[in-house]
Amino acid sequence: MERERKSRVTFYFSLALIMIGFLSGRFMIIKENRIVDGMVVDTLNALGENSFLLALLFLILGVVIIFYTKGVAINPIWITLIGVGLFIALVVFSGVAATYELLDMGSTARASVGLGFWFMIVGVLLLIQQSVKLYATNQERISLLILLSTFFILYWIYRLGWLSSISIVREVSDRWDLFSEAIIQHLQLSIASSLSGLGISIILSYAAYRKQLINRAVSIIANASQVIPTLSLLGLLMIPLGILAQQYPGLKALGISGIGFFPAYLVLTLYTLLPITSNAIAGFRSINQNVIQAAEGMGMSRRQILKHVEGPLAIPAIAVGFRTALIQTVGNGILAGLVGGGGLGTILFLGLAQSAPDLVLASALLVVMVAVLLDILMIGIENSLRKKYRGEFNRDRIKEYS
Amino acid sequence: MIELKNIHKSYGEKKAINGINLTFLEGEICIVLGPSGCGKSTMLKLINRLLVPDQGEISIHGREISSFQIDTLRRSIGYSIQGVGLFPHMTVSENIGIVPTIMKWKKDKIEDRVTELLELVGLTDHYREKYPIHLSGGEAQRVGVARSLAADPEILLMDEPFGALDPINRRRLQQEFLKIQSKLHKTVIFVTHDVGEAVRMADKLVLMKDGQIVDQGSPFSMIDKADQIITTFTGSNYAFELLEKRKISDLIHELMPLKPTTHNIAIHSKEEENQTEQEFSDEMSLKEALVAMIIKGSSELVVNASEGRYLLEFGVLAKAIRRGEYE
Repeated sequence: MERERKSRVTFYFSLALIMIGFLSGRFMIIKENRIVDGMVVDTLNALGENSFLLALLFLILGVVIIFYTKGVAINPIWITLIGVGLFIALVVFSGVAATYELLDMGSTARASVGLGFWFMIVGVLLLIQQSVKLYATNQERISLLILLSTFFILYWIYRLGWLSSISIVREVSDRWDLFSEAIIQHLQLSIASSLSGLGISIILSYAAYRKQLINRAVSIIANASQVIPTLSLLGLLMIPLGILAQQYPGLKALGISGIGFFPAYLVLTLYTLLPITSNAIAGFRSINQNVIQAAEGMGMSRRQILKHVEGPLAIPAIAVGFRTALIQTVGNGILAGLVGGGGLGTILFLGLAQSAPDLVLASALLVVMVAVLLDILMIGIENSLRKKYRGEFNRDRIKEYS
Repeated sequence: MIELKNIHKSYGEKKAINGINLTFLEGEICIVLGPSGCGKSTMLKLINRLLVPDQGEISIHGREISSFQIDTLRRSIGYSIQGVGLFPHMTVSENIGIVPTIMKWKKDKIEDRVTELLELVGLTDHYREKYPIHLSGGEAQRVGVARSLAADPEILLMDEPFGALDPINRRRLQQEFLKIQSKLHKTVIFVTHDVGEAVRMADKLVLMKDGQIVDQGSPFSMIDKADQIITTFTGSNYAFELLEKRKISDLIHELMPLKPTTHNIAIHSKEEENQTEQEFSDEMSLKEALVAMIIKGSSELVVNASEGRYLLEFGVLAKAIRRGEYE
């Protein structure tokens, strides 16, 4: 009941967002060049006849949702499908509109999508996500399927050239080499530091779980690393690391320096410690003491207990912590751009410096996409781990008698 | 044979075990009975070295336990605790096979052993691949017992193993355990605070209170001292529970034989004739017989044994426990 009420509220909210977006009159902004103020074009003018098609789709969606929430038996998969259709239509129509608007303008002119467009996009995405929740038992797999298929359809449309007039698309495609390299760097940086954080955290949390004294120290370290703002930590490390690298050429040869990949990697690793250790410690602690005592009593050594009992039982919780850390690192990874650590942050800060909002938006969107994809991937891994170490399902029932 | 000599163990200020001397014989079920906090669980943990005594000596077959390698010692002692402690991430067969696995037995040997043990504790083979959360309390407990027997230990330590079960399941498991024991003849040290359980299962009974042994002996031999002590510290009536250790068939030579026909009015009074409908099996325990008398409101029961029909009188029943004392 509660869930249904929630989804109804979300549906109406997203419908409202789409409507506001449609009527707001800020569908597209046309500029002579990058610097001058733009001209705002509303939905009807920008899309022309297509706006009626869009309105029709929007209407169908509205009717379906109203019927659905009134209890008419409609498979919510239709809501998803119409939502995806609306998403693709929005992107394609804006691409076509941009091409028309720029027809008689110079090559420096650019058309960027406006706030109205973003409202509609957010509304549609919210709708798709909520509708998936209603029928999918394996949400992650369905979401991934929808995401990938939508991506491939859009890519195909892009290859047809329909989107190339939208400034943000043009920005990315013009500098694709730069962007692709940045994405790869970003992934490398995030994954490398999260994995290092995982290794350190597992050792720290096991030690903390075994020894009360270490527990206190670990929680201080992990919390402190989280309290210092990322940016200032980067700044703080720059000087000592720079001095270290200068004093000991050996360290410099290993890649240690005040700027570049290493400080970014170090800081991001530090930031993964809290989410992973706190989850891992909770995972270890939640193991029923009866189970441990039984293991000891039957003659398992400390190492065997860790390998056969404590490890497997804590793994699902550790995986949750790792996912949190990884996603957080993808976001924080933008700051690596400030110290020459590479990644999408480099482009983002470049865009800020050159007052090129499209560059900023493009790199931010790509960061979000990377984070979402990794998140879905990690949830999938988590679920399979949980299935393997089934004990984590329904822990409360286990407690009753074991 | 396990010997405890002058054992002391404290947790900080609190004395959990205060000078215990005790011998457990091979092949015997020794029940240690006492209220919560009397130190009985501590005593078990001292035997498999989960705890170390402050003072005193524990030996198995005359060899001091601290001279064994700790894992070897523990693997030769089955340990079964209240709440089972099954590994929730392992299937039933993995749970049972864990000790053989860490002892590096061959795979097919482990599988055979699991099959054998499942059969022993009365579970069918399709339980193998189940996970603990899919088991009922009784089933989980059986798996727990099977697991403690996996490496065929000589000694079994059982710490209120059936404590979490409902009375019906508990009784069933007690009976099945006795059946298993009659085949395996392990040295069992079984800790409980349930007087009924203690009386039903004990070859030897040890009473503990405040870290000391109050009394020990066969269940019948303890009736005089035990009754006051046990009743005061457990609230259960010892003598009444003892009735369950005897069946009507044990008294068969003291019962009055009846003529085989049920409708012989000449011998029986009119009242008895009305009740001839209800006859009781000689497999009944004396406790059940007493309860039946109370329910019927009669001091006599008609017993149907294989040798014929008998009359059980209350007087015979009342003397039965005292007689058991000298057996």
